[in-house]
Amino acid sequence: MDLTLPITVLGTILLIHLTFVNINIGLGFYSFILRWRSITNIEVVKPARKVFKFLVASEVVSGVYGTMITVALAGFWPTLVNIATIILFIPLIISIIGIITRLTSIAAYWYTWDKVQPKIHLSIGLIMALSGLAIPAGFRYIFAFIDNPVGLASLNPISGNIVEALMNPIYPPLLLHTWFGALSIGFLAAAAGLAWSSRKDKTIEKWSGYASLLGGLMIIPQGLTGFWFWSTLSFHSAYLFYSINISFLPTGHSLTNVSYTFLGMVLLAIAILTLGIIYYYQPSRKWIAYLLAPAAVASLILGEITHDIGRLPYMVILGETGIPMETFINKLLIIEPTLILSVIVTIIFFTIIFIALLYLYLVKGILEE
Amino acid sequence: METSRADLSGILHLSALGIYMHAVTVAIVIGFSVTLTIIELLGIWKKDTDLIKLAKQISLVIVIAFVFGAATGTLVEFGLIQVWNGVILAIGSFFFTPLYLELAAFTIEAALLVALLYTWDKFKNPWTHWTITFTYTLGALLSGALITSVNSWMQAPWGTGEIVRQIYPWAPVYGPTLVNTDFLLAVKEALVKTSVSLIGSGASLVNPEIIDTLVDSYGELLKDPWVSIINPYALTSVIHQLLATTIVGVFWIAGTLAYNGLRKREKRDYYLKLFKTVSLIGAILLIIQGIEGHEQGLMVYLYQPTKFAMISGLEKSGPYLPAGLTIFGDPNYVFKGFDYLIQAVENHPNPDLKIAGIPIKEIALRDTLNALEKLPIVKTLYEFKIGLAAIAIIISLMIISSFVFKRLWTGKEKILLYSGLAMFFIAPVMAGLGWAVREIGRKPWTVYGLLYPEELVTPNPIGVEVAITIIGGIIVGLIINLTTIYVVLRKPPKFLRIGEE
Repeated sequence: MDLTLPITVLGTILLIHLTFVNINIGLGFYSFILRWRSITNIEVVKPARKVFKFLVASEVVSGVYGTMITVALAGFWPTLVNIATIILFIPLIISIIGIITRLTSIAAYWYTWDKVQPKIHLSIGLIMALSGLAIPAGFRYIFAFIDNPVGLASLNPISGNIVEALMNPIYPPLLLHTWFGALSIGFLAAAAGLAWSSRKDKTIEKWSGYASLLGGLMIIPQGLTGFWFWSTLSFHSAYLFYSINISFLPTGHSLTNVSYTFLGMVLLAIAILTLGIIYYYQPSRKWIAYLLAPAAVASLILGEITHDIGRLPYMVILGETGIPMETFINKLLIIEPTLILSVIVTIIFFTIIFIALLYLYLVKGILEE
Repeated sequence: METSRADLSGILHLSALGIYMHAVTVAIVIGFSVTLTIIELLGIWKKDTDLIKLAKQISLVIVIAFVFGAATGTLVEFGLIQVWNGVILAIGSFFFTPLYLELAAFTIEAALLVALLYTWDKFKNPWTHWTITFTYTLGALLSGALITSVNSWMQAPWGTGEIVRQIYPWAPVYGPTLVNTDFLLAVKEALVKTSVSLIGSGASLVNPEIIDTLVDSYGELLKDPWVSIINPYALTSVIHQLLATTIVGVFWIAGTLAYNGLRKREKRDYYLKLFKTVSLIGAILLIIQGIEGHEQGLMVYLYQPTKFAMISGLEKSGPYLPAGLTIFGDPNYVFKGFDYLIQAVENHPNPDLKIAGIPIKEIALRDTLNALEKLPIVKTLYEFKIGLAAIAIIISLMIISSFVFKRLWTGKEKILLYSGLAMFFIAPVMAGLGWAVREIGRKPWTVYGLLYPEELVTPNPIGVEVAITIIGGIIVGLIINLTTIYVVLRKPPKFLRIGEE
């Protein structure tokens, strides 16, 4: 089967999912921070509630596309999914626990607002925020595994050590990089939303600026962990390292060049850091906040393209080479390209409607209330 | 890394629980959507604000259920793929088209749900909003139909031609041979080998090397990607399952209205009016389901001989009045029981054939006897279901008669409301029993006549902690779902209040 269409389907769904899931994680923390501040400052109650409602709305999108990823992956790359579910059994259980805790705590946080003592509510909020981190804590093992398949002993029959798989050296920097990135994107999304709200209520403006400062500053640990990730790749996933640096460093051979998307991501990150700090000091310049959120999403997309396209033509990297994508692609049947295309067009069309309406609903129903 | 028989039984129960819990959300999303479409239509047509208000409340509940459904669906989906890895082989072949189309149906559903929620009272012409509701409901029904077609292929593996019959002489022919017979038999051979080896689960064999070898040797596994959609068993099952799911959803709304009507005497007329409208939808659908049930029964008779013998309690061949009358117009028609099936196996036309060194006659006899073991439980569940269905039909006729013989029911409205309340519980129990008959009746196979659960289960041991996590998560998710619905209906939060009068 031609690989372009399956990659397009998976890429589209994955990018939509990752965008909203990252926003969601960051919003969870900002909602918690604002709730904490609201105990001593009543002015913060309003933005804290707004950010939390924004979180609930973004949870819908990430949930819908999260379900779709599994189907797309298992349909187009069935053997890879089988390997992952066997070898990464424990990480996937971690994600499942994360999803359960996240859902439970979001609901509990909502019900108990103003119904229990603030400190108890705050504790629930902390669980809600932290549980968001548990979901990528499991799923990021899949990405670390395809960068460096630790724990896999044999492909036929599939066997390996599910505990050894937890020791993947790529995982810690990748996860930390993801966490800080998610916090940055979520804070900057909150900054944009609150900036819009502050057109009618000036008291919110300060908290928009505060979100932008935190979102901007998160770039620093994200950059440091990014550097750690980058250097780890040089040892454990050389091919991907070459793909990322091929235009700038005298590294080894790679068939794919993602160095410009990598550079774009780094430059955007620097811009976000700078603008985030500027907006904190000049929150009346709302255009900065409106710019920061899409810039953060663009940075995320460039980062994911760098990481995932950089592996091509391989699906799993083995040092300076890898296992080609064709190895894992579904060969059990001939899939008509028209079927693939018609579904992807439908998904894109209705996703645009979905996100546009959700945005309108957020703006009219939540942010302007 | 091996899964024991005791573990396997636990895992099967775990999966059943997960599916049942998820089914609650599905019943709300599908059943409520159909009700919403009809209630909104009637509301606009009759210019009845009460009906429109009810439609808005229903749409709120759907949104909550959908959000939780999407989240718990991920949980159930991952749970299933992790626990039943071997199914991935079918996801990549027989189930590819329905599941891939499901992606589109799911997006349509999500987008139009937000659209219908956001655009309440926003159009001058209310029929524009109704069109969105109607299209959304089509998306929800399409989604349900596609998933049902996946399950139906496991009930009747259409496109496998005579393959099952070669092993089980009592089996029918499952349509034209659209599957690569050599490929499928090689997979079966390998799976049987693993079941007697130390590798344990056949799931470990779904790997690139084996698939490549098989494809290089025999070509693709499947010749027609639409096979699970064109399956005649699927066509009937889709109607039967969607009707069952819708009936549950409709009677949950009707039951809630009946409860309020009984509790709030001062508003009884208001609730009675809404209850009668909603329950009439349910009553009509239930009677249609009664007629459609015959078609579903016919499919079981044609394509699942062991399940038919279980349902009709035919340990020995003999007449089974309901089926004899409805299928052949002869109450004394003699149906084949397990004695016939066992005899057919004993007189196997290919007794020398072997799979992985085991004579197929031995395999067929063992499996037929395993199926016979399930007869008492399946028969009991089925009879209990039919008993409840009879009560449900009586209640439905009462509801319909309240529209025809209005005077007769004057002053007796409480009976109707109590009946509606009873249906709140009867409808889901009936559907649940039906699903149990469908699933247990398929045993000992996961894919009828082809694959067993132990060939598809994960090679990783499923510990108590994993089971508790998944069960706990699913139960907690359901509780949150229902609590949220309750809280929202009692006091709609500001950001969810839509088009309040």
